[in-house]
Amino acid sequence: MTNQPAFHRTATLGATIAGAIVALVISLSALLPAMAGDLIQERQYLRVKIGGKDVRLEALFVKRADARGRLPIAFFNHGRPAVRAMAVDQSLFDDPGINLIADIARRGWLVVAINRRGYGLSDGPVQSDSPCAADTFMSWMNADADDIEPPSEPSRDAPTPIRQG
Amino acid sequence: MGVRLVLLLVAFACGAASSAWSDELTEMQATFPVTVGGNTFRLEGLIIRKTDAQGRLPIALLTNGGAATATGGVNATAAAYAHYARDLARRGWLAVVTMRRGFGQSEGPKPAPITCQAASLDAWAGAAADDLQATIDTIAKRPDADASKVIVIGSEIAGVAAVALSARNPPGLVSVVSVSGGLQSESNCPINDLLVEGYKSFGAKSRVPNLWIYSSSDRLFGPDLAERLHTAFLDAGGDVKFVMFFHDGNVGTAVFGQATEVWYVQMDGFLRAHNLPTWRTTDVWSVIDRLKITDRMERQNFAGSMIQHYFAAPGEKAIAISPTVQAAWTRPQDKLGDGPPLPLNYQTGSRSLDDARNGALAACQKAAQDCAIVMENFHWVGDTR
Repeated sequence: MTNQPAFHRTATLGATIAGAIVALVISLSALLPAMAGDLIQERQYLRVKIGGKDVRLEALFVKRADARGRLPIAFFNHGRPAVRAMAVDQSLFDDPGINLIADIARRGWLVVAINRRGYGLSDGPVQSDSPCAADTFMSWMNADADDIEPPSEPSRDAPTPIRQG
Repeated sequence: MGVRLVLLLVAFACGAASSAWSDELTEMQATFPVTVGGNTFRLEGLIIRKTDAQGRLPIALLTNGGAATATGGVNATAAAYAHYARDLARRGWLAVVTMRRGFGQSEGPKPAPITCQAASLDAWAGAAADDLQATIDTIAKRPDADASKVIVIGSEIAGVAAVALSARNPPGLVSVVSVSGGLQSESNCPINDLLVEGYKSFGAKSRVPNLWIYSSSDRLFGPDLAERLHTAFLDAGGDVKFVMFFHDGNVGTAVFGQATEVWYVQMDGFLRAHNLPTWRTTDVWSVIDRLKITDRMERQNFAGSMIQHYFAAPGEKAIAISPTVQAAWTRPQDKLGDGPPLPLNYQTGSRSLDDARNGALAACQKAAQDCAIVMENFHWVGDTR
């Protein structure tokens, strides 16, 4: 997939600044330095409620290594892959949008990127189908909005680390 | 975007095992000793691997499920799971089927019916996990087994068994896949509260990444129960990716057998995300390159169809094309409108590679005389240009 410009172009993360959220209660512990040395990042699961149901979303947190205290949040929301069946292969970590994340983090933000339902290790499946049918389009957009809304709100539950096989 | 690929999909038929199923796999009957309370029982098993695989292979363990109760599925045999094991073997695993005590040719007493008491459920889950663990311990001694990478897959009651094993965190267990995981009591008493409690205790101990697949139209283990199991497991600290089919694959309790390619798409993605063996998305692009499909939209359409309907599909499979039809076929650049069907035919879910080849060729030959097989299972066998 990495040699597919078409896929990468459409899968590139688009920056959506959700606005500064003053009350940041997500604790960033055991941060793993994996980007450039001036940044630290952490992959975690966010547990959210959507329509009253528990949903676990994969998330990536990035901030400056020298950041102290509470940071305003910049929320990144990914696009759709050109190949829908590749949604499960979407990686927050390998996405070329990671460079945009780093740019925003260096400007003093806590950057939070999530995989919506059906993408990467987030719960699934993808909540939307045929994008060309007008009657499904709004439910499609609303399902996406459902995924974005809870993670962009202050969380009550501490995120849990992602274990890799 | 709409998928316009013309497919030939033949119903997945699972029948009696053949000794010459596919020349690329080796199938071995096996027995696994399990010692419980000082008594040793021999479990019926089956081991399938790629014949030409080198070194130690990670272990994918399947166990008899497809039943809602501890005593159900009396006619189960290891052979009935052979086609799933073959699918895993083709993905690079040492695929193992084990029949728990009392089923198939396995020795030992049948499990006692589960009553609506916690001790009864715990006893069943413990015994089922013992059988799985004993099988893994036996397989680990093989020179072709890599016991540091083990996954366990089960449906319905076998899904519960897999989750129960994950609560023991045995060394090397890197993932479990539970499809329509759940159980009922033979006495028809309300067992769901107990099951939720059981999953809470599994979640408190399990540190193994789980993948759970359910169907929202499931009448036995429907969304209400599945959500409760999910919440209990997460609350207690378990690690689970939860997938509730509501469109593709929404076939009720029968997801494991009747929506196999849909849950395989999920399993394959999960395996890749955990760096475990299966086909790669780069393999899909490689086939599209070899088919000389250059149009951007067409490449994307093809990739989607190939993943869902070919790469993830179960059974023996093959692709046929006609070079003449392919050469004559054109598509406007970057447009989605209707066009002529693509000169590609494939058949999946076949019982033998010959059947898959013949089916793909027969479909291709409706439009051309120079059809040739270019892909067999995951291997490109066509022109190397």
